[in-house]
Amino acid sequence: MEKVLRLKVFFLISFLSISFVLILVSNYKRELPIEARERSYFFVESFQRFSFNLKTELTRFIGNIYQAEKLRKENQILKEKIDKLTFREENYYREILSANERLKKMLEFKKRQAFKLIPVEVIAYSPFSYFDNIFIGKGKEKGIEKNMVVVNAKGLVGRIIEVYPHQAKILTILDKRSKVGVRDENTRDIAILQGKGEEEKCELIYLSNKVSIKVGDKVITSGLGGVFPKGILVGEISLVKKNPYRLFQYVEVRPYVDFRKLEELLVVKE
Amino acid sequence: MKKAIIFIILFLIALALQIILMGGLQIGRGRPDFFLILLVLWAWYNGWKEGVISGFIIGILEDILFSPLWGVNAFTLCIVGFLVGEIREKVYEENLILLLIIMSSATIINGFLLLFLSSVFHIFSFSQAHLTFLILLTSLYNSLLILPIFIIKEGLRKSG
Repeated sequence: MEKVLRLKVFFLISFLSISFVLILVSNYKRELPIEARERSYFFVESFQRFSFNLKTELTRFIGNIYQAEKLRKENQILKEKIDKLTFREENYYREILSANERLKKMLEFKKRQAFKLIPVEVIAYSPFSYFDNIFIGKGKEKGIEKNMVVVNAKGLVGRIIEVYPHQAKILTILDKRSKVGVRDENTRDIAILQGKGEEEKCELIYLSNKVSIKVGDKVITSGLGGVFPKGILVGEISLVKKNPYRLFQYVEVRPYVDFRKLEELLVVKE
Repeated sequence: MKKAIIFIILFLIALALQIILMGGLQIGRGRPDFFLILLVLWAWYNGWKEGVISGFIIGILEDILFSPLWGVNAFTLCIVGFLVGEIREKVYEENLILLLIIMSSATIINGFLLLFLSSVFHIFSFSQAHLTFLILLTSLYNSLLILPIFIIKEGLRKSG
């Protein structure tokens, strides 16, 4: 009896040890699982493409009953155009106007280029509950690269973390692993926006108690850090808590993007 | 050999269901875990040894395909497979209520082991509160899904 128990424990511990070694190795080199997945993703990619095609075909079939195909396509093109224009108006033009005013005062002028945007569609969300990511239907072959920024008409969505030939995976700003350099549009104070792992909520970290930001202030990307371009709308301050015994204040930001209704996105290709 | 082929086919079905059906759900929402359902049923009908081996294989494949770290799911599913197989050896009667309890407990144990590993290695997308909610929701879905599977299996057994 005891021998059987020992055998069971030995058997289980052997497999647990192998798993633990794998965890340590991939934790030491975090790029390893991503690189391996990017090289051999055909299997999941083909499943996801099938799923997406199935969904699209069904939608098209139902759509055809109610409205003409021509109208649908026209609507799609117009939607993309509206998204691009709204994004530029909301983010680029607004920011360039305020930047222009500041720079004029300082008698310096730096010409900025408009963002080049690639329209993409969300084709799937993560199949598992505990690791949540978004998949888009364009990849390496359409010029998508790792760390490219993803937006929609309302503002910042996240950045690309894995790229496959026909798909890419996005890490949203809601994710606990996400960090973005941001700025308060009014006070110009800079901070780091971190996901809280909850819907419709992010927080600003390392923001000194001395900084006087207030609820309703708009938060935009600061451009610091090199990944996110300057001036993209992120959200607005929804909660400010100051504690005199703490160095930093607690600030919550409500993103402008509705993450429950993501369909068409734009990848920023500067 | 026949058993291995059946396992591979079931794994592919679970993968297809997980990706095709569940890949369309919105961010932050709970969804059933077909891999865990497969593991629990496999370990339940084949014992602790196959529970550990199948847990390791399913976990490794899940890690390779979806996880930010290798070995995380393999680690937790080995434990779940072992526990389910062990309990089966001590239970002589097969009934639906017991299987439901086993399924929901297995999901909760797996979820909280993942939660523990996530806090050690910083790999998850969600806050602990939201993860706990997702674990409980997944547990409910898994238990509900095991109902029709059990009924179909019993029907097949009686007719066969």
